[in-house]
Amino acid sequence: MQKFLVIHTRGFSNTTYAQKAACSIVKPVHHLVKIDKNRLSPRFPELNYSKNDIRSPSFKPTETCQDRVREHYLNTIQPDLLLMNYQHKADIKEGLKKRGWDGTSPYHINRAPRKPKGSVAQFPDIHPIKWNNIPEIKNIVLNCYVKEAKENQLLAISAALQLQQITGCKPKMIYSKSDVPSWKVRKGHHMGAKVELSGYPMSQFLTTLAEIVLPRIREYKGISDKSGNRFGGLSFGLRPEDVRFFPEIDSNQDLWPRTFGMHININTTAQTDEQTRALVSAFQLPFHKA
Amino acid sequence: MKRTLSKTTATPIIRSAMILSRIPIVVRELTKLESNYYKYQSELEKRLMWTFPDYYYFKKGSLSEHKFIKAQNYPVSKIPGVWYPHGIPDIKRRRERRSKQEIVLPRDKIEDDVSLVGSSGSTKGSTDGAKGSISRPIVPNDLKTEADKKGNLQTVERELSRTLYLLVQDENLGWKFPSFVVEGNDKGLHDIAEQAIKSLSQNEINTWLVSKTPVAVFEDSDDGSYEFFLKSHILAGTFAMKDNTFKQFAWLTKDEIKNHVTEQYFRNVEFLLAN
Amino acid sequence: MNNRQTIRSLIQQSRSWTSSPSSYSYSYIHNGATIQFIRNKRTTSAASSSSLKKMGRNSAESLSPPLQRAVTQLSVLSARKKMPRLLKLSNEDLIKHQTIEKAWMLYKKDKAIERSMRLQRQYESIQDALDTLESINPHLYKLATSTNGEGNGRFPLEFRLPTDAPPNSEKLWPQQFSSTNLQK
Repeated sequence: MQKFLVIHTRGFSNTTYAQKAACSIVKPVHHLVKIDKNRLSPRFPELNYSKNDIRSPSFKPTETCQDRVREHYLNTIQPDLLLMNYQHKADIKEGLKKRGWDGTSPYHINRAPRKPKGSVAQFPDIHPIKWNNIPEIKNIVLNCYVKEAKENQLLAISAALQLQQITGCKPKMIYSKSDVPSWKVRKGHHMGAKVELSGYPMSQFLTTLAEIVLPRIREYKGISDKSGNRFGGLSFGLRPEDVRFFPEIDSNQDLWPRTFGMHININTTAQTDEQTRALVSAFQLPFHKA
Repeated sequence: MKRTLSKTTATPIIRSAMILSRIPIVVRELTKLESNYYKYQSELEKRLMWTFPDYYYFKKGSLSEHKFIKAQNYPVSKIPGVWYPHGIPDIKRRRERRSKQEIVLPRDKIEDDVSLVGSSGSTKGSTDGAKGSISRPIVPNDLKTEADKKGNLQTVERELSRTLYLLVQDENLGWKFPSFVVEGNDKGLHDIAEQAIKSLSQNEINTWLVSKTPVAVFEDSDDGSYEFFLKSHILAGTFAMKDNTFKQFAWLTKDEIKNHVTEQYFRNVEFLLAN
Repeated sequence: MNNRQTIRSLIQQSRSWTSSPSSYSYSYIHNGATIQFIRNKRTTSAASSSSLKKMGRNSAESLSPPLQRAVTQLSVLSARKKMPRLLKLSNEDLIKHQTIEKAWMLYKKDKAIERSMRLQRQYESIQDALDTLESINPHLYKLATSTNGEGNGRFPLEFRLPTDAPPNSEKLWPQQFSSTNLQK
């Protein structure tokens, strides 16, 4: 049987796509990339500054006080995590990757590679933990989806305010993405809110959760020991009655006739679930064995 | 195969040392640069904060609203025909837009008003000013404990903002981390060190071993012995020496360790110690 | 999302329209008075000019309580009427600010480099320790690396975060500990 050599560099469609310019440079130029005309205008020069520049209208100081969680992490947790995750003579563990064709047929040329064995998606490589890739918490995303908001839009507004009160950050509204007739959900309905925390508000939220809210929940077992999304994420939920223990809600009971449960997603730079759980447990969040 | 080979050769003395630490109880003290920078940034933040929405927290016509409004020093709005040397007041929702908003918490006994500057309430801690218990001044405890004042080194209740390490004084070798000779092959380094530390103490102590992996090795060129260091944290209980294995013990910070141990020893362990 | 639009759409939904809304102007009847909108801004009609002020107040108050609460909640969330003025720095102030920021960045960078170098030294030290242990006593080496990797540990719950101020002296440190109580 004749074998054909598959040369991946010489593609007929892929390479040209990658090297394509974003817009034509031959006149008349028709822009394919949308241009933010506010930035082009000479009338608002301050809009061109980055957000951390004091001249920008959206400037907001970030480091306004000592961050005890971050300092504890750098001082104590980080060296411990380095030691805990150390593996002697460890190599890079390659994740599942797409497989090429063996080139036994001329049709193999430029055929899209096969999906990985036993999986639809590719997986990232797992690097051994060294001094420069010690897991740390990237951000925390609070997601508050209110089912009943499809009948009563006002509940979604309440949910957004609840997030704002708890975290002190401005929430983003979330809308239903598609029609789901079986759930009676219509596309484009205002269904709740989410907020992404990082930096000091994140530390503040973590400590409030670990020191005030979770200890007050009756018979709270802890985060499931099986939680984790394999890529350094970890999520758990709070019920509407648990949210009442946040001091901001607790001291204003009459303003909150109704509270809303939420999902808490902790995103870390850890590479495996085990690393993620070890990291998260350092912030006094309890885990329970199922 | 390998094990038999190593047994035939002369086995060096192996010691297992424990770096037992007490993590800080209080946050680190700020340097002058840090405290000045944070002050500057928080002033900027207060200046750029949104106006505190008091109408949300205080019901209209309620007693708490009345008390809150009474306690505030609202800015005076612009009056036509008046010359303002510091600029015409720009007031929206009872806030001067050109400066930070000052919010005064109402107090039951008006002796010394504790004013909270900036609209902290808009984001966190809805302040129910009517309650005296909330508005009472908060006095933090003294950072210096009794042990600090007396110079007692044998308790963990000292130097709250630093990491403390347990050091012992040996008759011959002087101050060092507690270390124990490993005999036999049935127990790992971590088991030996943990059990020895616990048996060394009069009272029961709760410790948490970070990992079974040693964090450093220190080769003694004189007698050819090896000292392996393991990391552990004390979580509860009082450490007190039981027998006379060591002369005395102390809980020391990194700076104090430098003064106690030999220079060579400190250079070997310095990078393992937290500030 | 524009909160003003939401408020307006909520109010619109809760009332019955008397005339079809057009892009330029529209009006509807509320409490017997006609409210007119021109270019999305409310004006009062001539019919209610006598009770001009009163009606403006009433229209907000007569919303149903849940709707009124939602309007208040939206106004808490929105920046409208709550934004301070933009900062206007003189050239000198700007340079001062930039100097402060630069100094802070340098300070942070120095600390980060120092920390990274220390961690690197620790890593190399762990590596060195395990290499030595393997060469002098393979059995102890096996024990020291036995569960590392997948089954690595968790931080205990007693591993407390440092607080801003020390706790009261009796709660400073858990003096008493007995492992028998822990078992239960």
